[in-house]
Amino acid sequence: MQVFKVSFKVLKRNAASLLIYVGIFLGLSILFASNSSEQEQGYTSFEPIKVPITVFVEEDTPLVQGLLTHLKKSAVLLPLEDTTNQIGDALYFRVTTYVLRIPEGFTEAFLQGAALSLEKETLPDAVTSIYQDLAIERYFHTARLYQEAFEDLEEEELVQLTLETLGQETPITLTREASQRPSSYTRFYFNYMSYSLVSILVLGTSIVMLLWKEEGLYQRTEISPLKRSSIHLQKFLALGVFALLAFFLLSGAYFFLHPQATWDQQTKLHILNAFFLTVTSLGMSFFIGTLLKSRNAITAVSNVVALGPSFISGVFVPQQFLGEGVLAIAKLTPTYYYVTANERIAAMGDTLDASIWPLMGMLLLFGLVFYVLSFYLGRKETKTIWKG
Amino acid sequence: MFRHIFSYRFKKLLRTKEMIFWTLAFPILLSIFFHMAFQNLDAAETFQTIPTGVLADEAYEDHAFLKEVLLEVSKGSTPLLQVFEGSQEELARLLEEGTIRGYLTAGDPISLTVRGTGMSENILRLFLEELNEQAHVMKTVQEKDPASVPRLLTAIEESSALLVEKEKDTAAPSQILNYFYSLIAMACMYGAFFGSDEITDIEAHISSRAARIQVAPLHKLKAFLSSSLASYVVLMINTSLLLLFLRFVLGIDFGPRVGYLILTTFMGTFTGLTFGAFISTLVKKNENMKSAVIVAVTMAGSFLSGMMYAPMKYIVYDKAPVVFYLNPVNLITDSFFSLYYYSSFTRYAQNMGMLLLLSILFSLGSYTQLRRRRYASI
Repeated sequence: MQVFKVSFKVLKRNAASLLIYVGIFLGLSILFASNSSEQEQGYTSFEPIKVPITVFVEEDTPLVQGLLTHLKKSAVLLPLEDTTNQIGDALYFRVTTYVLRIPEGFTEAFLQGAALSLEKETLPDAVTSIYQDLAIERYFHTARLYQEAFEDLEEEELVQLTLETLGQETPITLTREASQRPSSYTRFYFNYMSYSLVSILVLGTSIVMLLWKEEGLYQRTEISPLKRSSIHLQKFLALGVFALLAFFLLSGAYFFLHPQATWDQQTKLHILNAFFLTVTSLGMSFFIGTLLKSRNAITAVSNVVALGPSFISGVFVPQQFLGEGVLAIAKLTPTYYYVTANERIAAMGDTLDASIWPLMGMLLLFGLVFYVLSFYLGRKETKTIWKG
Repeated sequence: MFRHIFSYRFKKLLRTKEMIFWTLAFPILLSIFFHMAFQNLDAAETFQTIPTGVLADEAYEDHAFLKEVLLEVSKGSTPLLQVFEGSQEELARLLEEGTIRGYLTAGDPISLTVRGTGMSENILRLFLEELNEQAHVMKTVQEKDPASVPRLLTAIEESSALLVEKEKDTAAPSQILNYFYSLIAMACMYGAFFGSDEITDIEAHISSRAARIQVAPLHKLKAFLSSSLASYVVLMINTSLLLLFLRFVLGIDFGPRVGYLILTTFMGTFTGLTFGAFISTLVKKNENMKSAVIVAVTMAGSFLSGMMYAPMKYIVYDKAPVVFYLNPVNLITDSFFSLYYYSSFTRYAQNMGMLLLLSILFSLGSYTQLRRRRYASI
């Protein structure tokens, strides 16, 4: 097992650069986990969406308090420092989507029936702006109606009547059966895992494959009594073990970072899908390892083949935001089938969605093509070196 | 001599493929991926007219108010709703297909049938609630004081626009731009590879090229400056090519302040170069270790300035302002950002000042480490 041992020794020596990718991935996962925990209950009834908005209030009156109570039904109130930079940045990065300012003296003017305007800062043409516009205008419109109808109404009574009216339920029927909302964390975890897994496998495999191509080492093993088939077998065995280790490390970490995860059908399918990706990525890594000639190119190539498909197949940006042209290109990469299968698994609930099998099949087919290609190219290369 | 060293160095650099890859080819490839992935990001949040069904039964035929309102909100260039009238089966089919987002059933109150709980469905909900509320107000008024009803009816007729958009002097908040800004910033900071290489080539115990230069009868600082200038020129060419690619091939609009944009890029590459030199003098181990540190710092910096997830930049700004102003990748990103987004130059000038300060610190740091170095044996 000399070849096996040496291969592993080299992998160990490069552990630092391989673990960087594990580190980045796990760091992102923890960050994301802290963000997504509250979004995970299943839904059975219609839920109002709450968007983050900011309200600067310069006076405290029952009318204004009533507005804030009403807005909390369709928004999360986010306090901000009242500076141009803070507001501008918060809007640009969509930390808040709507900034409303209620000036001093507004309530008094409103109650006297003056024509008024309120200043808002929004994201132009955004759907969130329309949503908040509707919510705010409803409140003042209803208050105005009551005020016009009953002229001698106290402010408190006016607000109470208004909120009562706004609290009326409009009957809403949800036609789709109560289904499980796709757990955003699980989806995120397994999608991002592909980036990390491909990076690690391509990097590790290329390092080992290039090692055995080094002239001195190649010649030394050629004259050893080891059979060439045994050399190849040991080399592939080492890389297979390495790939399995990476797979277990990354999928095992899921249970550590996500303690509420259960060993249910969906998790099993996610892990099966990830295993198929490991098999295919190892094939791709063999293929790349056969093509590469210099060590310096390894980092460059692994970065490009890991990042590129991740961007266009929906790992970093959800598939629904990608254009059709982009997705058409993405279909030429195995990552696309992996991510699509993941999305379907995450959305399917308790009944098995059979459409995932062809996707996993495509994923494995890519792997098969890579294995065949690298085998063919590898044989050709051995012959050329032999002649030279 | 200055020219001699400059031109040889220049040639050497152009032949170092990895450095050209990281400062030119890699950012260009990444920008293509960004462009493909993010092209719909801004369009996705734009409001689009909501296709809505309404059940054409008797109740609807009799509901003059609903008809009138639906007609009103279907007008204009981007109307709120696009209304389809149909039978129960038809509407159910359209909803299932996704042609309409929901349908209304006239009655008291008017009800809504939807398939999911997205943004459009929520807007439909608010719209409908407003209609039902008017009916509720009417009922309440009638119960309490029937004499007020005529006044109420005139009030319903008059509705004035209450909300007014503030006059802003910020540019359109296009979300994709920050991704490209941090990408350029990353390319600038990868200039550190060049800086590091400059140091490697004057440390006689690390490279034989440096040993050769050390024995030359030449002022060391002068030799260092001329070869660094060659690095800087190559970097400026690379980043300029990147900018040209972004502007003219991918068609990204950076706003009107092009001169300042180029100035920022050149300042950024300078910081990158001096940063690399500084790291190289600090990390005494081999070249691999130096590259690893440069990549790790640049990647972490890019992440904190929002290259992988744009709101990260705001989170750092809000929660850890010290990190915000010490992270060179972020300073470069924020210079571009403030140049584009804000009309005032204050924040831009602050960032550029910080970048200059960091560059001076890096240069001084490297200088004190390297000056008067002699080798008894190598």
